[in-house]
Amino acid sequence: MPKKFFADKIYFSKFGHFVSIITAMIKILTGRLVFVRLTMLTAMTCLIAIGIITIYASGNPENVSGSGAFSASWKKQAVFVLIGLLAFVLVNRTDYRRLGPASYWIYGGVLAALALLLVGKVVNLRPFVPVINGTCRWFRFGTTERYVQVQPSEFCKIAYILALAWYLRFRRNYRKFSGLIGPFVLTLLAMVLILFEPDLGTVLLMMPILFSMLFVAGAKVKHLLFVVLMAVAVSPMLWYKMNLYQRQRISCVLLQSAAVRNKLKESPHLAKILTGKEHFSETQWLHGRGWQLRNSKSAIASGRLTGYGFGKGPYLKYDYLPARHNDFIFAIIAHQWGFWGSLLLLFLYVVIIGCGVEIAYLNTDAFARLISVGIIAMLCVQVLVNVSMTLGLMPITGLTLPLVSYGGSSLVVSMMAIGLLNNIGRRRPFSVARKAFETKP
Amino acid sequence: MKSRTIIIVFSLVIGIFALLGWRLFYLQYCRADYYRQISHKQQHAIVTDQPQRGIILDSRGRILAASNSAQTVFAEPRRIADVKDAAIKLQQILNFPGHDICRIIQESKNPGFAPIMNGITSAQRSSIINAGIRGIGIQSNWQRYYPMGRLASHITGFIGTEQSGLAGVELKYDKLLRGTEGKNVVFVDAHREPIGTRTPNSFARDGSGLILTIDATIQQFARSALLKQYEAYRAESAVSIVMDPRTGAILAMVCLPDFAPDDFATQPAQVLRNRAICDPFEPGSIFKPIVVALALDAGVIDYDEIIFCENGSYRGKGFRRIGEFGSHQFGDLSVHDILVKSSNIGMAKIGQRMGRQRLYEGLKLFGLGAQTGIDLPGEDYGLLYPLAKWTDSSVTRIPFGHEVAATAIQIARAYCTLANGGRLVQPYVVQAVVDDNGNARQLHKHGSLAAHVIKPEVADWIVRRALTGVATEGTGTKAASDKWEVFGKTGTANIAMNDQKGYDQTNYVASFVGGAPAEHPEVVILVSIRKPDKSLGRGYSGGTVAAPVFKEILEQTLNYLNRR
Repeated sequence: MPKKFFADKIYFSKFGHFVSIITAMIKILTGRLVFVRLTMLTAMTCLIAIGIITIYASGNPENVSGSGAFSASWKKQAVFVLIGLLAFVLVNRTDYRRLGPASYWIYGGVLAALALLLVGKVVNLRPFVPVINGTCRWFRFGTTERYVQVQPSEFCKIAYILALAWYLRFRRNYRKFSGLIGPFVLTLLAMVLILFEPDLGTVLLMMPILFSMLFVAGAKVKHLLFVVLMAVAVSPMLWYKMNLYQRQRISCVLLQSAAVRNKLKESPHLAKILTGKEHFSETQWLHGRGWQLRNSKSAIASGRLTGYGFGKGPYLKYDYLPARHNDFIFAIIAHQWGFWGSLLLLFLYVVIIGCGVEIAYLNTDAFARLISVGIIAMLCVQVLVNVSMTLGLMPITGLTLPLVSYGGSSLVVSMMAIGLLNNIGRRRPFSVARKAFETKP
Repeated sequence: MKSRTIIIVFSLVIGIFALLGWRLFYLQYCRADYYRQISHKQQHAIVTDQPQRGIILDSRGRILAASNSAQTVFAEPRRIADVKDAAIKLQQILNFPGHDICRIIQESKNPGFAPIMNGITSAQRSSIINAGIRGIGIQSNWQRYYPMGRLASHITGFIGTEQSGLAGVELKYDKLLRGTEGKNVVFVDAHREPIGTRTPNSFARDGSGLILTIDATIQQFARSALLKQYEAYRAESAVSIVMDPRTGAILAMVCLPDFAPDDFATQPAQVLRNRAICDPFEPGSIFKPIVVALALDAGVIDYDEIIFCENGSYRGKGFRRIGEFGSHQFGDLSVHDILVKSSNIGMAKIGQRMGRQRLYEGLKLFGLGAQTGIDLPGEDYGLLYPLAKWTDSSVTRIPFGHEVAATAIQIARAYCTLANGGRLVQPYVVQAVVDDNGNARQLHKHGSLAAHVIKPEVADWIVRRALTGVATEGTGTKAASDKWEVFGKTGTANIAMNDQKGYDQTNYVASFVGGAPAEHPEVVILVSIRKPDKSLGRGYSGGTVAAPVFKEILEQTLNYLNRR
């Protein structure tokens, strides 16, 4: 089919080029579960639109003092959307089932890229692997002035889901505890590589994906619970293994409360554990580690029920909220459109998740089901973690708000993920009753 | 996957989203006002505009205290990224050790303000602005100058670091001098950098100026004369007051030892104290004319009455033996001679004739045992026991200035009353206030206290007949002047021991109070020198130690005043 398409006569005229893309896109929408998929794509489009106009508002040159760093961000984001659309179309060009055999290769390729990043950490590979804030997360292409950055760990998420789904699709031994070793090794490969970049947020994101996929694949709940309990038991030891800034970010969640802060002032021992310093100064905390969290909460809360309105509100201006166009974009949305606006945003995500569940549900193909569950878990966890961190319910991590936050890799990967869901949904096998891989022997 | 499981899992997800929704509602509805407040506080800064503190002038318009603007370099520690770099740059400009700058910045408790150096030159100012070091700023503030230095230190007083008066006129008139500060609310960005100025909520109003009654020239006469004697006799302290007897205006007030107002912080507390109004002492003989005036006014003695003075030793019921100063033995003395020769026994008898009640009430009328109400802070009441505490001996002792304590200003005021024909005056040092628009306002209406304490003829007799004799033929001949007819009274008072039992037999307070010309007094001058060194062998009495100072101040002052 692809060969025929590219060999078409009209491909060679400009107008024909345009028409062929449109036809391809319309073709993507045909198939099964049209209503569900259209709903999902509408929600996706809305989220992308909200993202672009919010980035536009937060980067309005009138409001930015100093360099006007992200005044052009919304244009770049629009370009990323086009790239994302291309990726979306490409993902839908082939049957998802053909991705299966290739999935290990794809995963291996991404792992190799991640390993290359780590090499950049030891050997100087600049400007190809730039070191930004002490981390090596990006490849950089282009000249020093104009360049494109790609974040392999974002793509790793999709590759990982594909590989894991391919691994889990036929096996039946997940009901034994020893059967969990394979999937965990598969996960740890990527986790360790990303952990050393370091990018803790993405690492932690992989765990819920693994667990939800194992759960769907038929692993016993008590086995999974046992692993979780083990992790909880080990975590106090991990506390001292973490970097200071990571510990400080986690302690921020506790330090929000004035009562905890007062306690810390009295007890140097507790202060040493939580902040790494024996002397705790409230003003320093408020202007240092606590700055972003406090301002994010202030931005959200001062929006009240209806918000300040588009492009208005003090937190859009003057550097009060760092990273307000990517990681903290939710705070700006809540600031502008208030409680009702943020509820609508959350509802759009629930719609996408619901559609994903509908696509996964009743699907007789185990591979398809596992992929869709993995993607739903990925999107869902990202949204929950990102929104929770702006609300002060979770530590601040580098996880973006999918489809909305500024950032090419994140946007393209999210759109690819939804593209995969679309691909799976339109090819859902016809069956009266699904074949289960867990039938009793 | 069973459909039951999927429903449970999906509703779990919905539940978590609902939790987020609840948290949003809590923040955006329940806590919205609180966070709006925080946000407002964060985005606005109040910039205060410091007013210029009022000027203090003497009666001829010479500057005693003034505020000039000075530039201070300060750091805003929370904005400084590289302390070392900033310190090195500043070091070159300010000539100030870099590690000290680092220390100031790092140890500052206030993350928004740490003063580094005060009073930089305009060249330094411009090079700091050109250097544009992040987190380093220049603030202009007011610096207080006292061009006359030590001359009027106890009257002007001094101010603390917060531009608030701590002593003297600076303290008493602090509210007027201070002015009101202006407040501007400014919108700021995250780095506390102002974005735009809002209209000022209030402008700064400069403090009002003060015009004192002090004349720096007379102050200088008094100080130099007193200082000479103070040093010659190695005295513990010395006080001099020059007053206008008709108005109560203080023309000069000197306390020694004194201090430089710029440098008050290094001085001990007893140097900072204004002894003329804060330190009561037993006045001794200078108290006598007051009692005599009261007795004459009450009619218990006549002008030409003769009183037997017991040949130097007076004993009686209820009091211990009374002797004369210098072991004189006087026989019959007239009232005039009792004052001129300063007889203690004569005074004791006059006191006995008056009785407790009349003596006590008379002294009260002269303002003893009460503040004079002078407009300087920290005035003492003196000590005049209430009638219930008087013993039989009180009536005999108080008339010659024992068992009673008065401040120098109380005594000077009492003499002003005598010189003013028996009318009480109100001592004051500030005659007018000039507000920031230049409008002067008189503070004192002369003669507001024009009540007669004693009859004018009694007061005139005391001043013109009795006290002139002290200078011509009595104990105070060293105070006599060729040019003016001087009236006055010497006093050599014992100093009561701290344990209130008996007197220190080696130390005295040598005083002379008086004025000139006797017919029409223009000034009343008090000189009181505490603990002149007796071992120098040059005498210690009021007539020897204080009278020459009085004469020097008097002649210079009257020459100066009459040249006008």
